Amino acid sequence: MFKKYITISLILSLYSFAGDKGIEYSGVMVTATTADKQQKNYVVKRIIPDECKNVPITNKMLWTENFAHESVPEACKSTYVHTKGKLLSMHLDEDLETYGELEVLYFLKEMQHNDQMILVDSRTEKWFNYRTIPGAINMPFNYFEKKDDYSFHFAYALKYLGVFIQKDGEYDFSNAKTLVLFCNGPWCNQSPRMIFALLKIGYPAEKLKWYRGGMQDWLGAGMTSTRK
Amino acid sequence: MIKITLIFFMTFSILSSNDISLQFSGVKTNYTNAKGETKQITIEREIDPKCMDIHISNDVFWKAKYASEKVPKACKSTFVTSAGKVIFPMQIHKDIETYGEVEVMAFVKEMKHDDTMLFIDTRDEEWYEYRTIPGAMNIHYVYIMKPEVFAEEYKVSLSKLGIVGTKKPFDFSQAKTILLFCNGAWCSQSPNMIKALLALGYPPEKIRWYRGGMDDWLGLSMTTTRK
Repeated sequence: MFKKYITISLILSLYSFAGDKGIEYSGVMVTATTADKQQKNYVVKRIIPDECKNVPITNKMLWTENFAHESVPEACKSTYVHTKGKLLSMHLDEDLETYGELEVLYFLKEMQHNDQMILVDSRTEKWFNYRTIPGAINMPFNYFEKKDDYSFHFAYALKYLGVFIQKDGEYDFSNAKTLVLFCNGPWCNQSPRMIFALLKIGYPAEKLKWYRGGMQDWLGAGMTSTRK
Repeated sequence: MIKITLIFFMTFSILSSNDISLQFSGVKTNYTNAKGETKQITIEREIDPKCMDIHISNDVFWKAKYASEKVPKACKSTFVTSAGKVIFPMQIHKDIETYGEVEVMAFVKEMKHDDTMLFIDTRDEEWYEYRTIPGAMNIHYVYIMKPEVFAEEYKVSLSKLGIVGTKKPFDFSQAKTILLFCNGAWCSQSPNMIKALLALGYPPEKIRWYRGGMDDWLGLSMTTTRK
């Protein structure tokens, strides 16, 4: 079943040289539940405000001083803390695919009619409530990393992921869902820690994908989030 | 505590612990500018002491236009979010490996003792001269893409890449293992160069791509040729 999704990146790679405007502009319709339990619709896409269309791609505009030039309109730039955390390698495990923005979008699109796929924000709840990728659900990494301290949350999360605990106490992953996990950026260790905790209990690596770029690369590419 | 140790152990099993720690220990490399002046630069993750105490919270990281005003200038930077026509996928070709910052550092380190490896900034000279990743040489992608316009540059570039011959089929037995980058995941210059190289017959196994480019490099406070 999940074989189909593993190929997302390969399918993309076939078209990648075409240079056509793709899913990042057509967008994906998503219904997400907000922190106050409201249902909200989003079109998840790359947003390029009109005033940004004529910003020339030059050294001056992109890279002077602390980078984006002061003449670049506010709507076309954003600022990131760049000194935190520890950089992680591109791949966390041999069989575990790393996703970029387009793969996340395709996954999000498939996910709308396939309940075997879940986009997981692995940060703790306050981050998720503040700003996340529309369509993501929240599963904090510590539920898995400290499963003995969070036994109730852990058991509930496993059920949600389609993992069953057999009579002998072993986990059954045959119906486990395919997940894309992310956190704050390539320097953030929350999604890697959740991935390692899942691998440790035997979750199949092929059913886990990592969006390494996380919120920093998502917002840096001008993509829709749950907060304006 | 035990759990944390285990997690770190597992992280290191993918890349060696040495490679992961390059961001702290640094990699020495040389940068030669247009005037032919060479200087040694150590690539590392630059973390100003002022930035050590920044609290990781929503208010500091993600409010309004993101990084809070209270965050010292040395600890944050601003990027154009609307550049480029498309965003490129994570994998550009099934046999071309996509690199992140850690892999780039390991490549630059390895490159010092291996002249079959080249690290290439595919942007034009103006960008390269202004700010690039230390250790990179400059081959503008159009030199490979438009030989009819840049006949001389094309010839010189093929020779730098270790391609033997003047027309198809070329001899790629001496072709270098190359790592290419440009401005970011939205930048088409390195993908265009890769496309042109593949069209010449360059073996994809000898090509690596740093998709994050200058955007991710600077967004993670890595050393460049300009302060």
